[in-house]
Parts: sequence; C-alpha cells; structure tokens
Amino acid sequence: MLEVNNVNTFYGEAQALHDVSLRVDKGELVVALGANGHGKSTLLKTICGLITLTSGSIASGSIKYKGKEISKLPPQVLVGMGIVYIAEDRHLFPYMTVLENLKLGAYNIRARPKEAENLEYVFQLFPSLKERKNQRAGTLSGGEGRMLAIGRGLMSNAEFLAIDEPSLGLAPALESEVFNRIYDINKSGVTILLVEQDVIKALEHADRVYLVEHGRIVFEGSKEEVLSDKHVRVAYLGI
Amino acid sequence: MAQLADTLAGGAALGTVYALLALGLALIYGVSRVFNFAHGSFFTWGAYLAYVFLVRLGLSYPATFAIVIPIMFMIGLLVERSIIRPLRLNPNFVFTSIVATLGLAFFMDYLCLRTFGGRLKALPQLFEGSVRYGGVVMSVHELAIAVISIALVVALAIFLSRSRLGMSMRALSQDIFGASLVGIYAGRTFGYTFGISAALAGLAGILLSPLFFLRPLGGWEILAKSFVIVAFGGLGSMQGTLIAAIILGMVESLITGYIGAVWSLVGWFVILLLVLIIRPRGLFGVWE
Repeated sequence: MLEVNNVNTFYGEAQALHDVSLRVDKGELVVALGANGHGKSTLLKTICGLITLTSGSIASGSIKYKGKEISKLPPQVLVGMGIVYIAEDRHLFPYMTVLENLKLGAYNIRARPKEAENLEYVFQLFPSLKERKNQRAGTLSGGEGRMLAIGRGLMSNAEFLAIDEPSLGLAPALESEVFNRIYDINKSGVTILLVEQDVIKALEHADRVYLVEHGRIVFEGSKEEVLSDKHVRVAYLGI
Repeated sequence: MAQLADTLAGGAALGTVYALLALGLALIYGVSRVFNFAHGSFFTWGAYLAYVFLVRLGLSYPATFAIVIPIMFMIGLLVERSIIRPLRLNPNFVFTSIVATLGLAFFMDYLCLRTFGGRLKALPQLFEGSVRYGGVVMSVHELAIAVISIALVVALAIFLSRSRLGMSMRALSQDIFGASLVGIYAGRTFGYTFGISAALAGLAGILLSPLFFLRPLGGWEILAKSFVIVAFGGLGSMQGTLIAAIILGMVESLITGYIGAVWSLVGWFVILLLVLIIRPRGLFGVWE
C-alpha cells in the first residue's frame, strides 16, 4: 500500500533521513522503533507531505501510495487520499469543542459524505469523547486529547494512519488503553504505521517492525526477530 | 434631557457600524496574524466606489451595494494573493506584512486622492426623514445602518460558528499546522478572510459616508478607531467587540455634541487606557 524508496530528507543543511526505504502493506500495523531525535517523526512527516511545513525538504527518493507517487503532494491532497497524520503534540483546536474538532476532521471532500458514520464509529471507540463533546478541546486531559487527535484523524476517513508516539506523556494505564484502541482501529481495516519509543507496548500487536537510528533504517523484521536481536535487547530493553 | 437621549441613540447607531469595522480588522489578525494597516483604506475605497455608482452614474442604493461589495471582496482576495501570501515565506513575516500593508494603505489613499481630488464629497442618505420613539428622535438613516450592521454582526457570528469556511477560519487561527492536518488550505482561507474583511470595511464606508463626508485620507481615523475597539472589547470576542463599539460610539456622540468633534479620538484613547489598566485583555477578551 505504501512504499518508501531511498528517501533522503533535510532540514536546511542537516540531513535527517538517510536513504530510508520501507513498505507497509494493506491492513498491516507496522511499528518504527527508535529513540528520541533519531528521525521517527521526520519519517512520518516526510510520508504525509508535512515536511515542507516544518521547513524541511525531501532531496531524493520516491514515496508511492497505491502505486502513485506522492512525495511532491501537499498534505491537504494526501488527507483527501486517506493518508492521515496523528501528531505527537496533537495540534487540536483548543478553543473549539470536541465535536467541532471532530467535524473539522471531516473537512476534506471525500470524508464529508461519511461524516455521520465516522462520527458514530469514533464515539463508539472513545465513549468519553461523546460525554465531553461540548467541552473545549483545550480543557481535555492528556489521554482524552490524544484520543481526540486520533478520532479527528479517523473522521478524515483515514485508510492509512501515521501515528506519532501515541504513548508520549501518558500514564501507563492510559497508554495501554490508547494502544488497544489503535489495535481496534487496525482490526477494522485501517492500515497503520506507528512510531514509538515504548518497545513493549508498541510491539504487542505489531505485524512488522523497523528500527530507526540516526535517520537510517538499521533493522527490519518480525516482532519475534526484533525481540531476539541482541542490539535491541541491550539498547531498548536493557536486558 | 431629550437631546441627550437623541445623542446617545445616534452614537449607538454609529457604534454598530464601527463594530463591523473592528470585526473585520480582528478577523484578519485573528485568522492570519496580519495587522492590516490598509483596513481604513478599504473603508475609503468602499465609500468612493459607492460615490461613483450612486452619484456619478446615478444608480440606486441596492444596485450600488450589489456592485461595490463584491468588488471589495475581490480586492481583498487580490491583496492577500498578491501582497501578503508571497511574504509568508519571509522569516520576519509579522514585520514585513505590517510594512507591506502600510505601503498598500498609502498607495490606495493617494490613488483615491489623485482620482477624486481632495474636496469633500457626500453620499445621499439611505432613507430620508426621522422617526420618534418615546422621547427619542433618530434619523431613519441612522436606524437603517444600525439594523444592517447588527444583522451583519449576527450573520458573521453564525457564519464563523456554523459554516465549514467559518470553522476552517477559526481552526487556522488556533492551530495552523493542525488545520493542514485535516486538509484545510491555509492560503485560500486567508484569501477569503481578507475578502470578507474588505467587504465589511467597504460596506461600513458606504453606511457612514452620508454622515461624515468622503475624504481620501479619512481611513486613518477609521483604522485607529477599529484598533481601539478591538483592544477595548478584547480580541477574540465578537460580543465584546459589539458592546465596546456601541459604548465608544455613544462616547463619540457625547464628545462631539458637548465638547467638539476633534476631541472624540482623544476621549476614546483615554477610555482605552483606563480599561487596559484595569483589564489588560479588554472587556471580554479571551485570548492570552
């Protein structure tokens, strides 16, 4: 479904991604693991057309979605194709209500006819958002804010979700809750590429795993292969 | 006593038009973070365009509105597209956009001066005559501009809270990156914002000119007044803006009636300073 080939991304002179290649097949939940500052977010922003908004650029390489080259397309077009980015720092509309935030998720033309259907699905997935639908997004707790960010992405009628560090800043119980919901979303047919630092939680439901270090993909394999890799065990699990 | 009531009623009507101007200024600032120094010039152009169609070409008021307001909307779109948008790539956007709109204001004003000359011109009133309610006498024109302005403020509030375009404008003002994530085109939406603001300012120019005469450089006082109202009412609150505008309209009427018109802006600034000392965010401000 998504195919990234030999992509190099820069912020000015500084190279953030080196010759990155990866693929995500339809229906998969793929996890890109890596420590902070190693280019995981840059990877997702590169795929979702957001890199130019954060003053970066793709120097070379190709990104294909369903066989179509998308590396030159703006995020607004990609959202319309069903490629949706869920930011680690959420980027909600703080002075608008939960419901308004969700409705804006359905801004693109392709999502509009399915607004009611998607809204029902989001409320079923996150009942606490339904209870708080008339509350301002800025007043939500960290976990609810994260759920709203995911819900807003689903409202865009996402087929491919790129989720940036869903566990960031959440208490362990909430973290599990968020990961379980992400797994539910994946089971419902949405393809997911997730970047994470929390190895254990992220790997639980992963189909395949990439390891990102210093802007390079240094390892690719199944969950079992990753967990038995000596480097991963030392660097990420401390065992 | 009757005269005081008349003065206050006239001032309140004036204030409702000021509210349109202030909302237009606040809309551009809120959505796209541009302080538009050409706001007063949009006002002036609206008035002079109306002068052309009403007085020179002899059209009716409805026809004039139907022609001038779309023209003002297009001018707003064009200004955003050709002047503001290219500057967004500049790292000092806040500053360069101020200089650019300042330059635009001078250009628009002096183009007006060259075309129409410096002599004062007048527009006819929307309606002749006056109405009496209780002890208060008000001209029909003042009543009409208040009705039109309040209807437009309400329409703008509904537009911003309900419509897809209005919601996308608020989304942009709150998180521009988040707006891109849901598929909102920032540039296009900024353009519509400028168009709406210019149309409101132009309309205000048409509504006020029968009371004040047309002056090519008259927009600066309007810009100052719009700014004072926004600061007084508080950025981000439409209700606050309307109330502030009505209060300041009445203050202006009182000062003009009892002290002298030249003192009205002085009075406004004194009130603004007092309010900002007590409430730094303005009367109803919601923004930090």
